[in-house]
Amino acid sequence: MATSPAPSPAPSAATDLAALEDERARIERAQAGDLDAMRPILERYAGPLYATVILPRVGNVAIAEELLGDSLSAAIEKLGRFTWQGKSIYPWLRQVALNKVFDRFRDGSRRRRLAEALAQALEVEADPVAGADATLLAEEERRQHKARIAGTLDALNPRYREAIELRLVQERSREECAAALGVSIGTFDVLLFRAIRAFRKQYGEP
Amino acid sequence: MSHDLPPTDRDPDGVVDPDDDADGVVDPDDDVDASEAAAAARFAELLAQTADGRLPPAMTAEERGLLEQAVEIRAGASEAARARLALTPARGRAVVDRALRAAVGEVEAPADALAARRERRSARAVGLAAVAVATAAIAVLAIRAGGTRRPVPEAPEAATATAPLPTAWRARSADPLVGRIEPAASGEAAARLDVIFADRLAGFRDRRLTPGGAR
Repeated sequence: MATSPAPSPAPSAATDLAALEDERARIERAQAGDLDAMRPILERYAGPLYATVILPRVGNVAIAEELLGDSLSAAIEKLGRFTWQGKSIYPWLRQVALNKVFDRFRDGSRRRRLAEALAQALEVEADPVAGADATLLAEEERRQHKARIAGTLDALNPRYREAIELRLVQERSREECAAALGVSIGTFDVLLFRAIRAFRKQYGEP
Repeated sequence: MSHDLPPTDRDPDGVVDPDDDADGVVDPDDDVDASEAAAAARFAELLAQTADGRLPPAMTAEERGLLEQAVEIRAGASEAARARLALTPARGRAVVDRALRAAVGEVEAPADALAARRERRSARAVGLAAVAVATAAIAVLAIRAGGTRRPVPEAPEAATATAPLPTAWRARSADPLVGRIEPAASGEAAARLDVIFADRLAGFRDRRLTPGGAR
């Protein structure tokens, strides 16, 4: 069943300086003890954190939700250390979430290396407007993931690339994929199995 | 004397990351043996069943790694999958709500829950050990004093032990507590369980801890 996506930070509202001021005021209230003041901010950024920071690094919906919860708990706990710098809190929340992802994986593990490779500093000009930071960061992060996936696919055997594009990117059925490649379903299953193994070996490596 | 060991898949020191696939990349046209064909067919089934990104609990480490890789590709490169895998607003609100409640101590923080369960289990084990020691000590004293004590007349059975419990105290529907579960709220089982548990705990307290068992 298709579900509606979480709302991303809406530029129309977020680019309003009043929204930035509201965010600052809410954070100050939360730092003074009224934690519930953070609720709208956390609800606004939970979706982008989940979709662009956590899930693409862990590949598991259940673990991603768990890490999102851990990240928000840690953010609330550490909110006293946050210093307002005239821009959205989203980059700070993103770093908290990244740290939770890193903590999840052992140092030196393939997953850890991959998460760190994907966390390279984003070259996004910070916009001193409320949600613009979040919008830019989330979009840039999404673009980088997509480019990295495309780059990895380009490095694969063309038949592997085609199998992955058909089945996982275009999301066509096994039968359609097999027909498009002119092979039996069983042969396509083996092709895709090998293709994802090859992709996995290549993905995130320098 | 040489102690060279033959190559093995085992990792006695546990230093090899199961995610690090040591196998070389095979060519698409390489021969397929029966075990690979079976593994590929099973993986294809798993892939079809996990379009929503939720992975089944029982699978091999390699299957899990490949399925997670597939979710990463889908989430990063497929627009349709990205929308499907996104956090629903209801789920996002539930996660935020739980984090805020954890912050004010109403519920355990997700990361703390397991540790807290372990602590409770340890405390329970210590308590049981203490009860066992005390029981043994009483038994020894009773045996030693047995020869000198007069038999005690058997006490009549407490009336409360035989009084039938109302059905509502033994089993009752949770429907009035949680109401109708909308599809959008289907993932909020933990919150519903909290409500049911709180109600049952309140009932237990009323019956067992209130003088006369008010409830």
